[in-house]
Amino acid sequence: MSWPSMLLAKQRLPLLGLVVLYLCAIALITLGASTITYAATETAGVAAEVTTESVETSAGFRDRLPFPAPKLQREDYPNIGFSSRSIVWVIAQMHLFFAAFVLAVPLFVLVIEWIGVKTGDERYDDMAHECMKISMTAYSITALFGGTLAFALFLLYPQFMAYMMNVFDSQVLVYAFLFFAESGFLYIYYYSWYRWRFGNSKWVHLTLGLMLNVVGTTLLLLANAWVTFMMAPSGVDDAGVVTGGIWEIMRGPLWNPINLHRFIANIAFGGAVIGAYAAYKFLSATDQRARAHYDWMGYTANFIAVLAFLPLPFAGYWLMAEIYAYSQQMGITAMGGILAWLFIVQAVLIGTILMASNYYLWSGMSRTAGSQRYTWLIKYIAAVLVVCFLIWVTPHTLILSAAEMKQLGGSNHYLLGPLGIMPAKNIAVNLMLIFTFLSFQLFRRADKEVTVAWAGFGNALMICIYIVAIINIIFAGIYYGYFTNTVYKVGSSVMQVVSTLIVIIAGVTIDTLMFKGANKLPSQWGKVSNRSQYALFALPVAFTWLMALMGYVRSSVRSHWHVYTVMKDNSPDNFIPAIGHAGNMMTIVTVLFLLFVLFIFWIASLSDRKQARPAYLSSDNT
Amino acid sequence: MSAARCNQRRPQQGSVLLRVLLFSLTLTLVFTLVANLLPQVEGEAPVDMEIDLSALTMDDFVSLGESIFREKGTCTLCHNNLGRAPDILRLDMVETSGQRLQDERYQGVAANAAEYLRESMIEPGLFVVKGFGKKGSNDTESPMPAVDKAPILLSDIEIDAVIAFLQAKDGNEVSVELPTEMPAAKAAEPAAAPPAAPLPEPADNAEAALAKYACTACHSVAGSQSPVGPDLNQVGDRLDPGQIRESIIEPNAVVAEGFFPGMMPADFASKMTVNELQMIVDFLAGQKAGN
Amino acid sequence: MASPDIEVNLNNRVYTWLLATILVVCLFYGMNHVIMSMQGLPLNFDLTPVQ
Repeated sequence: MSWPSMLLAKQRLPLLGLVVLYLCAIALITLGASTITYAATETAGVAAEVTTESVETSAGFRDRLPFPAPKLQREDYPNIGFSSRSIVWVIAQMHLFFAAFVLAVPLFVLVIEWIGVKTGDERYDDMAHECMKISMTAYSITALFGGTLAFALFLLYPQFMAYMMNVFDSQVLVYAFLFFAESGFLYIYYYSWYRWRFGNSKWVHLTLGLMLNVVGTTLLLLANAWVTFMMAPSGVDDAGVVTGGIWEIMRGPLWNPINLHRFIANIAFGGAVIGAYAAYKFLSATDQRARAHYDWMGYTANFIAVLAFLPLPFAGYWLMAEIYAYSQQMGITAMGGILAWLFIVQAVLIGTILMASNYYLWSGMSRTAGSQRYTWLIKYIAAVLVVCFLIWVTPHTLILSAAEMKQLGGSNHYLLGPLGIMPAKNIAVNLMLIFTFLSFQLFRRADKEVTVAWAGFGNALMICIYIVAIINIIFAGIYYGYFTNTVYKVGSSVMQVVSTLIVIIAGVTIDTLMFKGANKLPSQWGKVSNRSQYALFALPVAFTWLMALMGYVRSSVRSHWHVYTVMKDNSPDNFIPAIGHAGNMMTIVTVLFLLFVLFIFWIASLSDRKQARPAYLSSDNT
Repeated sequence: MSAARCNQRRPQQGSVLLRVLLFSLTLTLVFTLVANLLPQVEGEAPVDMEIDLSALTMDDFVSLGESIFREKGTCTLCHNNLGRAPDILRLDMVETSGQRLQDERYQGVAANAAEYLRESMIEPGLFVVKGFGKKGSNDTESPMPAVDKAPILLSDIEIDAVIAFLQAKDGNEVSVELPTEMPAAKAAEPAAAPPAAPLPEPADNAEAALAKYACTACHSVAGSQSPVGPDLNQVGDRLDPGQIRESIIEPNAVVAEGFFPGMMPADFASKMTVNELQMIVDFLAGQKAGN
Repeated sequence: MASPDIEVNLNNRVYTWLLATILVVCLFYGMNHVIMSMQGLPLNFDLTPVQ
C-alpha cells in the first residue's frame, strides 16, 4: 500500500490529532506574539489620541509622537544609478523562493517520518532525512538572501522602511526571535535524526519536528502580515497613524487568504523541488537500487506537489474574492485591467504543470502490469487536456496594435474587460483539473485489484460523478455564462469549482473505502523511462516562474502605493511594469534560483561520496 | 563505492547536469517568449497636473475632466458597458441626475445636476442605482469609493472638471465655474514647479492628424490594419465629405453596419482644430477604389 | 470485477447504475441550488435564475 492511502485509511485519528496540535500551537504563538507587542502599541494608540505633550509621561517602550506615513517626493528616494525596484525584486524573490522551500520541506518531512514510524518501513525515514539534507543548505541561503533583502530595503527605501518599522514595531523583534528558534529546532531536528531514531527517542524527535513546523509557519504568518498590510492596511487611520493594536494591524482583510494560499503553494513548490532532486539523482544513478529508490522518492515528491497544487486555485479564488470585497477597484485592476494579460501567461504555466504531471503519471503506470486495464483511457484524457489547454490560452481578443495600446492607457478596455470572467475558460480549467484527477486516480488504481463486494456500485457511482460533474460544469459555463446576466455568470463559476471539488473529494473517499484490503499487484520501482523524469524538472521550473508571476500581480495591484491608500510611491519605479519586462525579470530570478538549486543538489551529493584511498597511501595502512 | 566506479560516473553526471540545465532553460525561455509576445502595457502612476489658471478656457476644463474621468479618476474601470456600474458615457448625466433627484429613494440634499454629481462622487452611498449596490446589501450600499479619498484622491478642482465634462459631453450647459485659484496647499508650494504642459502641436498633414487622434488604432487607413472599426481605405466611395465630417463629429448619429454605437470617441469636435478636421475629411474623401 | 457471480449481478447492474445515477444527479442538482442561493442568487426549479 502506498503511503497516501495509509494516510487516508488506518492512521486517520492520530494524524488528525497531530494537525490539531499543530494548528493550536501556531495560534498560540501568533497570539502570544501579538500580545507582547499589544501592550506597547496600546500605549502608542493612546499617545496618538492624546496630545504631543503626554508623550514624555506615557509609559511603555513605544512612547513617541503619532507617526503618519511620510509623503515622499521623487528626490527623497536614494538613487544608486540602477532601478531600485529591480534590485529589491530579484533579492526578495530569491528570498521568497528559498523561504517557501525551507518552510515547506519540514512540513511533509514530518508527515513522511511519522508514516515511517507507523509502518515501521525505514525507507520513509531515510527519504525524510534525505529531504532535510537538501533543505539544510537552502536554509542558509534563505537567511543570506533575507539579510540582503533587509539591507537593500533600508538602503533603497529608507523612509518606507522607517514607516513600516514604526507600524509593526516590536513585532519584528518577535520575528527575529522566532528565526533563532527556527534555526535551533532545525539543526537539532536534522543532526539528531539518527541519534534519536527508535522508541521513545523517536517521539522526542517527532516533537522537535512539530515545533520546527510550528515556528516556521508562525514566521510565515508574521511576514505575510507585512505584505497584506501594504496591500490592505488596517489598524491605521487615513494618514497612516497607528490607531489599533498590532493584532488589528496584522489581521487585515487579506491576511488569512494570503496565509492559506502561501501555505499550500509552499508545499506544492517544496514537493516539486524535491521531485527534481530525485529525478536528478535518478538520471545519474548507475545501479538499479538507486534508480528504484529515487524513482520512489520522485513519485512521492510529485504526489505531494500535485496534491497541494490541486486546491490552490480555490485558495486563489478566496483571495481574489477578498480583494474584490476590500476594494473593487483593486480587484478590477488585477483581473480586468492591464494585468489581465498575464492570466494568459498563467494559463500557459498551469497548463505546463498539468501536462507534465499527467505525463509523469502515465509514464509511472508502466511500473505495474495492472495498468493495462486503463491505458486505453490515456489518449482520451490527453485529447481533452490539449483541447482545454488551447481554449484556455486563446486570448479573448486579437492582439491589439501599438496605437491602440497607447489609447488603452492605464484604464480598462472594452475588449479586454471580458477576460476577467470568461465562461469558456472556466469550463476548460475545471475540466483540466478533473481529467488530471482522473489520471491520478487511474494511476493509484493501477497496482490494485478491488476485493470489496460493493465494487460494482462504487465504480458506477464514481463514473456517474465524473459524467454529471462534467455535464454540470459545461452547462453552468454555457448557460449562465452566455445567457444570463453578469452576476449569475460570476456566481456560477463557484458552482463549477464545487463540481470539481466534489469529484476530487468523492474520488479520494470512494477509492479509500473501496481499496481497503485490495489485492496489490506487483510493481517495480525504477522501471520508468528516463524521459518521464524531465516532467519532474518541468514542474519546479513552471512553479518557480508561476510564483514569480503571481508575486508580480500581487504586488502590482497596489499600483502607485507603497501602502495602499496610506503611503504613496513616488519613486521612479512607481508604474506597473509591462508584462514583457516583468517576464524578463521572472526569467532572471527563475534561472538564478535554478542555478542555486543545482548547487544545492551538488552539495548534497558531496557528502554521499568518500574519496577512495589512493594507492600511494595504502601501503601505510597495511 | 570503488574509485573506478566514481570515475566512471563523473562524465555521465556532467551530461545529466547539462541536459537538465538545457531543458529547464528552454522551458523558461518559452515562458519568457509568451510574456513578450503579449501586448505590452505599462500602468503609469497618475501625475499631479499643473494647470495654468490664467489661460484656462471652459473647453480646456472639460477636456481636463474627460482625461481625469478616463485616467486618474479610474472611473472607466467600472463605468463602462460591462454592467459593473451605470454606463455614464452612454447616459445623459444631466437628464439622469434630474430623474435621480425625483426618486423617492434619494436621500441627499442636492438641488441640481451639478450638486448631485458632486455628491455621488464624494458620498456614493447616498443614492445607489437599482441593481448596482454591494452584493447582499439590497442596493443600500454602494461599491464605489469616494473619489476625494485615497486611493483616487481627486482635488476639488478635478472633481469640478469631471462634472464639467459630464455636463458638456451631451451638449448640456456647463454650470460649474472655472477655478480661479489653486487650493491653499498647492499655492504654498514653491513656484519653481515645472510649467504647464503645452497643448499638443496641431498636426501638419492628414496622416499626422490621423496618427495624432489614433484613428489608425481602430480603422484600417493610411497603411494601418485594424478590424475594430470600419475599413476606411475606400471610404470616399461610400460617403461624401459632409457625411465623413458628421461621422467624426457625431460618430453615433449613423453607425456602419456590423459595428456598435459608442465605440468611437464622440469628443473629436472639442479636440481637433478646424484645420485638422478639414485635412482628415479631405484625405478620407480621396480614399477611393481607383487609387 | 470479473467475479464468478457476474450472472447474478447482471440483473442488479441495471439497478446499480440507476441508483448511482439518481443519487449523483440529485446531489449535483441540490448543490447547484445551495451554492447559488448561498451567494444570494436563487434559482427556479428548472435552474433558471429567479429574476
